[in-house]
Amino acid sequence: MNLLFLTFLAPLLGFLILAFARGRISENAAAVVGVGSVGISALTTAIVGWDFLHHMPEGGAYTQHLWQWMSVGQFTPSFALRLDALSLTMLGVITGVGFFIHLFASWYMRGDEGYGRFFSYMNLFVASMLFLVLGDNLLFLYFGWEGVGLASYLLIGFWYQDPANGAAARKAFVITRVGDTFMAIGLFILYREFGTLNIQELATLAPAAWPVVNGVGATGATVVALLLLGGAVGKSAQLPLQTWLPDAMAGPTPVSALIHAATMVTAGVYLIARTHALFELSPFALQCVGAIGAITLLMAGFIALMQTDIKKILAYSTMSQIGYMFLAEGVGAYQPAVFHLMTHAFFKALLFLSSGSVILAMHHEQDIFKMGGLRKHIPFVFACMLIGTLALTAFPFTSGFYSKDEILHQAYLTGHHELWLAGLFGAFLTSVYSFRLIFITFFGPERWRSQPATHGHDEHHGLGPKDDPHGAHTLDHHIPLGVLLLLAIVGGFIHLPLGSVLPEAHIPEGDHGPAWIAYLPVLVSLLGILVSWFLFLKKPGIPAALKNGALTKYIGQFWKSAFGFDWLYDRLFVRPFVWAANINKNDIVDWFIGLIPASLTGANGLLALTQNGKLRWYALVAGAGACALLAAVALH
Amino acid sequence: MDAIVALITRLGPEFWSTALYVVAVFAICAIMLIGSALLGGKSQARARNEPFESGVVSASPERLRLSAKFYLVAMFFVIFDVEALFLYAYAVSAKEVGWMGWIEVAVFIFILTASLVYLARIGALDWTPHQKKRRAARIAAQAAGKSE
Amino acid sequence: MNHAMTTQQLTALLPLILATLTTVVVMLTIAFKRQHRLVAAMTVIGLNLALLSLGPVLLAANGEPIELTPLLIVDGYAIFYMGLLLVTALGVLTLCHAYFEGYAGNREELYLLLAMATLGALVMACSRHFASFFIGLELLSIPLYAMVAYPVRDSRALEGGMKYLVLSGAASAFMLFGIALLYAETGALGFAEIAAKLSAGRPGILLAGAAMILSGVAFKLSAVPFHLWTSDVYEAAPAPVSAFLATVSKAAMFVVVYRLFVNIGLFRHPLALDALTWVAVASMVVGNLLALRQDNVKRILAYSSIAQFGYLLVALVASGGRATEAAGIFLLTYIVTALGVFGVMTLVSSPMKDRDVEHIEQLRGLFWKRPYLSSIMTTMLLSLAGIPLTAGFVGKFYLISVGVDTRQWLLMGAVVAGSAIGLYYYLRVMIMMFQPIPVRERVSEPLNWVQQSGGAMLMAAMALVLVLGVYPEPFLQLIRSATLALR
Repeated sequence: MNLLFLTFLAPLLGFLILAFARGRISENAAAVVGVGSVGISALTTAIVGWDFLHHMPEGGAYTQHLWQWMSVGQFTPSFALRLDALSLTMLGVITGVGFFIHLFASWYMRGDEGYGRFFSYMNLFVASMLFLVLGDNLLFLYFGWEGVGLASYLLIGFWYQDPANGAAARKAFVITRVGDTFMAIGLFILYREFGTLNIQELATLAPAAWPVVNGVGATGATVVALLLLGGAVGKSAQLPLQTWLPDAMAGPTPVSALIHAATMVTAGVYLIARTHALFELSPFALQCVGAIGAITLLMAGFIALMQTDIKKILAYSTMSQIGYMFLAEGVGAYQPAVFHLMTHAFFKALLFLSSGSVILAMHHEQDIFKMGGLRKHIPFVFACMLIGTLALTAFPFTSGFYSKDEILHQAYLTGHHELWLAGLFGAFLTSVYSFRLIFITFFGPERWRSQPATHGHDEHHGLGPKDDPHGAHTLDHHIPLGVLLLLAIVGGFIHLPLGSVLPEAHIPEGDHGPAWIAYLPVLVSLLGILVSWFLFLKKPGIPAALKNGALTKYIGQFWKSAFGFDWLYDRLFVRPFVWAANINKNDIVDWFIGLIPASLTGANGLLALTQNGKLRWYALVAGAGACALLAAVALH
Repeated sequence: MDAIVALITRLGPEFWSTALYVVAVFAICAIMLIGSALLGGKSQARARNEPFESGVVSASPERLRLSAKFYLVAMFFVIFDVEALFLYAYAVSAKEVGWMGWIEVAVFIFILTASLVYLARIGALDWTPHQKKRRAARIAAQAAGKSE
Repeated sequence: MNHAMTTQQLTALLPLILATLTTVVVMLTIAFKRQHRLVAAMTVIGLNLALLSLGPVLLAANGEPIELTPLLIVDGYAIFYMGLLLVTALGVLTLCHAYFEGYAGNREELYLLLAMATLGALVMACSRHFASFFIGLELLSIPLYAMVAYPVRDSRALEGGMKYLVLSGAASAFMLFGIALLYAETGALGFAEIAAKLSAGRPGILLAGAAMILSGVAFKLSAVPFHLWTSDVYEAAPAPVSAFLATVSKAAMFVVVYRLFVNIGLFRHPLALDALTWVAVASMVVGNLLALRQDNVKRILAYSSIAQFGYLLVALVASGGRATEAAGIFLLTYIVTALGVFGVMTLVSSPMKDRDVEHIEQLRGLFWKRPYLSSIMTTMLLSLAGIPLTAGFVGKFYLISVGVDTRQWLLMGAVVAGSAIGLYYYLRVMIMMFQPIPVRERVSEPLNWVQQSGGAMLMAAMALVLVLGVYPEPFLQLIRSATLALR
């Protein structure tokens, strides 16, 4: 386990090498460094993980003290890595899934002028994410938290020549920053109250200071938990800070797979699981977590139903699945939440990578209504997509089945019936929208043939009526998809020893609920698939008619625009701010602030006069200084 | 009158002889200046108002530039003379300070000698133009030898 | 007077003996074979031997201070600072070598002067007596006059040397007068003896003596209002000599003065502390303000060093306890950083042309021509500004923590205000280096091997700045172990 530090050191070195060698090394060398560093990281994780599971350290956690930064009196921040079952799970997801996504990216990004730059950012991301997960201290968690935010910003705006991508990157950065600010305030309060940010120490100190009385948490605990929740909501794209995630799809698809599906967006889930000791102290905050999860999962499910961009559908589905994880944490079912986090990483990465493959096969076309019948052209990708979708809809014996079922089950058993209902309806929606994607993309007519080639001979965007989509046949494309395909199926059988870190949900002894509880989600999912088949394959006229209906048209547009959150936020925050900024064009405040530099430069001008280069003057001033000192003595 | 006599006798003969001497010095200077001014002839001309010495008209500016050599000599003298003073101090207490003192003085003299060697080698002690030339030639030869 | 030296004492004297030997050997080398590289090599070897001899000294001392005559004491504190001063002098030496390679006149004497000045600094680090203090100070200062005026054909350098000579002489006179007053009242010159006999003296005269000594000290540390010479001399002197002035000369002075403060309670009299506080505040504010709109980089650095020593005075005001540690870490970080900054200025200027590169405009777009040098410069400036994860942050953080502990609110306010102002001109220099320039001018200038040795030193300095910023703990432990003896 001593090798633990290698896991984040390797990507960090990779980042440094690529950043400094920018543009000077060939694509192959960049790929070797970029993918290899994460490979080393994954390998180390495997070794460390094997070691950890076979020689479980005392207390279920292994701490590697790297060094102490400095010790000034009481202030002794130290760099230490902490490995327990939770961070090991995250470690496995980040490096394992991350490695395959990197491998896929080495195929996907080939020929891009920023190839080396891409991998340097990706490595930076992996390193920061590992720092976030391994830090034993909320300060370092926050450090990694900001690091992944930066990497996310850089990667969303990777193709920065298009201003829209830059805007998307800024949006993601600013909105997550809102959450981060809450979180930072939360950390300040914690440090002020307890004088430490070490998670283990907090877990013992906080319950003593903030006991739960009659099911009501102390105000301090509620405030801190809600502030932390604010950070989690921002990072994990939950209501009300969810609007950045669909726009973040502007980045290259492997980025969407790694950062905006598998790892970074689940950091909020991780944060809540990590600080569960604090959340447990505030039942109200936990209710909020559950409610946010439930509302987000339903809302995202609805919105996904109306999207036409293949990546946006997946983005909303990600949002919705993270909603499930929040829901689980809200009912105290932390273990299923983390379990779902892992299986979700498998199948969502698979889905995103497959969609990337589809997009490339369609020459950078992302609108599913310009696709169709693709299963004949790219059968392997179709298989991947299908398995991923089945796992997403929790089809029996796929990985998603085990995790999502567990969540719903525990939600019911802990008595949160309204959350359970929401989850159940969400499962139905999930089936409908995800199979809509499958049916429209891979079945039905080949729509691009019937449409005029809007982009003329621009071969970089969309297919012409005569073109055929063509799949890839290289190993760096097949291996990642194949492995993730396997994981999406069997990932549910992985046993995580999370019990040593996370508490069990509060379920009354021996209560297993009615038998139908276990079957209902499956039935609902199957029903969803059926509805989807009926609406989008059997009778595609119905949705089309609705789309053109007088009233439904507007509702549909409202719906498609993600219930107008962007519009609302624009009216609520952006415009008043711009208005206020406009009013204050002359900047009254700045005038006052401007006084400071003006007085400083004035003082500078006066002082500069003393530097006249004349020796006698210098001697005079020095003598006067000595006289002043003597005068002080004399007057004393 | 008695008071004056008392004052004269109280100050004594030493005082009065010195006072007379001082007065005499000033008197002679005054007689020479005033006498020549009264008795000598006067004529006005531009050349006559210029300062001259031994019949040579001075041509140098008021800020006379002396060769740095003079300062060098002065400095060497001060340095080596003052440092030789330390040896007197040692000589007085040679027995008391014993071998330790002897070693210290030996080190001191060695350093002094080394600096003398240094001064000699860099040509600070070459006074005459002849030596200077020889030295310049040697340096030129060295430079030529290096460039080969 | 019969001092039979023990082996332990002789060992403790080794660094000083070796440094002395270096000057003599270098002098004789020059006399017999005047060759730049050879002389530089001899000096490097000599100073390195002196540095290595600190190992045996440490073993011999074994944690206990060694007293060498009433004049000198070799304790952990002295050993640490002797090491620091020697390393710094060696760093300056590599810069001198790169810089004077292209100088037309005699280049060799500079090393002789440098070795002598370093010897003076070493003496100051060990001194516990006003006589050795003063001898060390003069041994440090007199070669410096010559070093400042070394390029004798440059009238500006001559002027700078002359200014430094006159003002420094005046400062020495102040100090001597102060020492004389203390002697008159206590009849002693050793720090510990004076401290023991303070009660016998008249407080007014003692304080007047302390005030005069402080004036002289403040001049050497270029604290306001004794600072006016700083920028003129730094600007006039060759860049590596400025580096020496800013690092070794000031650090040696601070080291001995800190010992003085800890040893003699007189300097911790409320009046003296008040005076020092005001001097420190004035230094921070005036130093930073003067640098604000300065266009000459060497002058900016001079002003910056005024401000930095203003910060350091916080440790002096708080003297004792954790302040020793804070002073050590701040001096260490400051020296490494200052060496780096002046080093870059040296390498940019060398091989010596008619004038050093010093106007801020001359740095425009430096990054495109000399990416490594400008990266180093950027790191160093960030460190001077005290940005986290660089050495400067750790040093400043320590000082602030000491200041807060001892409730020096006025000083703390000045530190904060000064740092804020400082950021402006540090960033200004940085921005200038990254300004775009026409592509055809973006040629990487070749580095010949002479510059590479200086360059290697700079790389090491940069690495040290980063290591100090990220992992200062080992250095802190080193400094903690360098304890100051009250004897």
